[in-house]
Amino acid sequence: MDALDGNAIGGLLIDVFGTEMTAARSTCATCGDTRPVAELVVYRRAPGTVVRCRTCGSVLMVFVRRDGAIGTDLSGLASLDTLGGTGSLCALSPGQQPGPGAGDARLAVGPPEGCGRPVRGLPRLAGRAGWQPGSGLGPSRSGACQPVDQVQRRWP
Amino acid sequence: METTAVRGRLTWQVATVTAVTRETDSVVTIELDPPAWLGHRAGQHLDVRLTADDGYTAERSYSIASAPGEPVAITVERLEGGEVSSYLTGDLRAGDELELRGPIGGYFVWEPGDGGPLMLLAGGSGVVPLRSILRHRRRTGSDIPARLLYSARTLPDVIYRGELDQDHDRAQVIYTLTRSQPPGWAGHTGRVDRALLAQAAWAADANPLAFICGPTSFVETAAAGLVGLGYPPERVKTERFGGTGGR
Amino acid sequence: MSPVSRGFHHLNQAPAGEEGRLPPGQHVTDGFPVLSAGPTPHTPPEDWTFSITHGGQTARSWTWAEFRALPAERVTADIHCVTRWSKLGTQWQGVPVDTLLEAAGYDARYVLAFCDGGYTTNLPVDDVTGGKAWVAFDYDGGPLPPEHGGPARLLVPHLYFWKSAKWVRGLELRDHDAPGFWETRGYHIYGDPWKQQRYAGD
Repeated sequence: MDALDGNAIGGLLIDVFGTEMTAARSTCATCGDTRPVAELVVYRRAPGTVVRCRTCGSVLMVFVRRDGAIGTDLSGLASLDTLGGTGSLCALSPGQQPGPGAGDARLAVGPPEGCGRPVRGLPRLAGRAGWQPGSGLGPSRSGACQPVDQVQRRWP
Repeated sequence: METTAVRGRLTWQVATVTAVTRETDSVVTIELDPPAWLGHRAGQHLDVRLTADDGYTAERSYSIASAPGEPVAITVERLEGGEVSSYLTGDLRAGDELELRGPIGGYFVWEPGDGGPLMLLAGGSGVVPLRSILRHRRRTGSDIPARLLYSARTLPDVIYRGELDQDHDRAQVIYTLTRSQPPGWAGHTGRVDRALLAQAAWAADANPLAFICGPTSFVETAAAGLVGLGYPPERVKTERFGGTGGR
Repeated sequence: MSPVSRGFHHLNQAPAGEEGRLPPGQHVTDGFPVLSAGPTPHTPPEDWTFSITHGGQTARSWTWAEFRALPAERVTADIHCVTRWSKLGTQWQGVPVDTLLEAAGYDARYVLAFCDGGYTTNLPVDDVTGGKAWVAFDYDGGPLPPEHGGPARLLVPHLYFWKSAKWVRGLELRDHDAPGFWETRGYHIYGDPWKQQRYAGD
């Protein structure tokens, strides 16, 4: 049974992040490998979706669907940069340029200045917290991944 | 492209099947009329969801076979034991409804502004998104050179053969047939490997942009082959299909 | 509300009469789906060991030859995956976990199974003793294939099958429960299929 790649979870990533993410640039927290999410190794036939680094095999992201929510663990990533790949953040709106508050595809994570900024501080999620509805991404919490039911967030 | 294309979740919609065309013994193209389609880019895919009367659902992803501006169509290969592909290639009729969401994808996409020359590598049904790219190139009148290396088991398994052969003077198509060949076949045989790529792919110093799509093992061999021939990894885009249900 | 897809049937219907053996929300499959969170490891027998550890120390360890020399049992079990498929009457051979823990000689309340590829899962010791669990090396009359966890996997049929860790290499004895790979990411800490304990909080 072969692994797939990040293209296969394009729809799932839109559910989680609120925007197209296969062209986003991921950086592995274990080995530093950097590549578009589309090129990561994806295992879908499991109790959840597991995304691994293509170079070192470390787990970068895990998604668990439950009762209409998606538990999200990003703790294997050092960063997720939406300026990577094709250079277009809003891949479904190719005419737009990234910038403060550009378009409707605001990335769920990043400084409040708006979309197109690198996602920093993912290690702060290292406690494997998911996103709390309505509260944005906060400092990391320890313990089990929390389910989420909303897609768009702002960095506090 | 609409600025409201993505707001929150990508929503499911119910499309009407307008036509089902048989491409090969095991492959059909399904033309669709979704009520709220915002257009798509060449190389993108959509997700399909089937619901049985006991509430059981199954979802799969399928590459969009048509070019931007054409009616949305997907091409589906029937897979051994595949419950979704068996349904889509067997029971589905024009007039039926199909629940879908899309378009999806921002990495494995091409527009003329992205340049080339284009080196397209297809393994089996991996040709589907590459055909969308070739059609888009033709419809926009782009003169970017394009070459398709298409690996199929046999000649009858080649999807879109008539169309690919017709465009031959504008986009070169090179076939390799891996399982059996017709009498007198003068083309390539055997799987895509470094040696075949050295013959058939644009030289690296042309600075080509490569798109590789097909089963995982095909993609990995082909990508390693192109990188070994000097293609920069960032100019080799890959999309791996699974053995069950298209993606 | 999703429309019903005309003519689409779920291929894996439960055979008549089997429903009573199925925990709630499950359906029977004839196949044996391969689910994995990572690449299939391929550990050759000469490199394989199974260890019982405690407090960072190895209490007891077996090579493949030593492990295979232990008395083994035939097991017939129904297995239930949290992804809703169940397989009835599966046949295995394995060494009871009771045998392995007795040889290690430690007392503990919990174990954390650890595996090639980094997978882990946690269980109470009570759920892997008393004849409820094995380290299985044979499936359906032949050596356990790698994609199903070979050379050896944990077999704990009374819990959801994510607890039957593939490619198992040992058990860490613990006084406190520590969530494993899926338990950390939202799956239930215990996983009783008859109570549908799929997710944390169920």
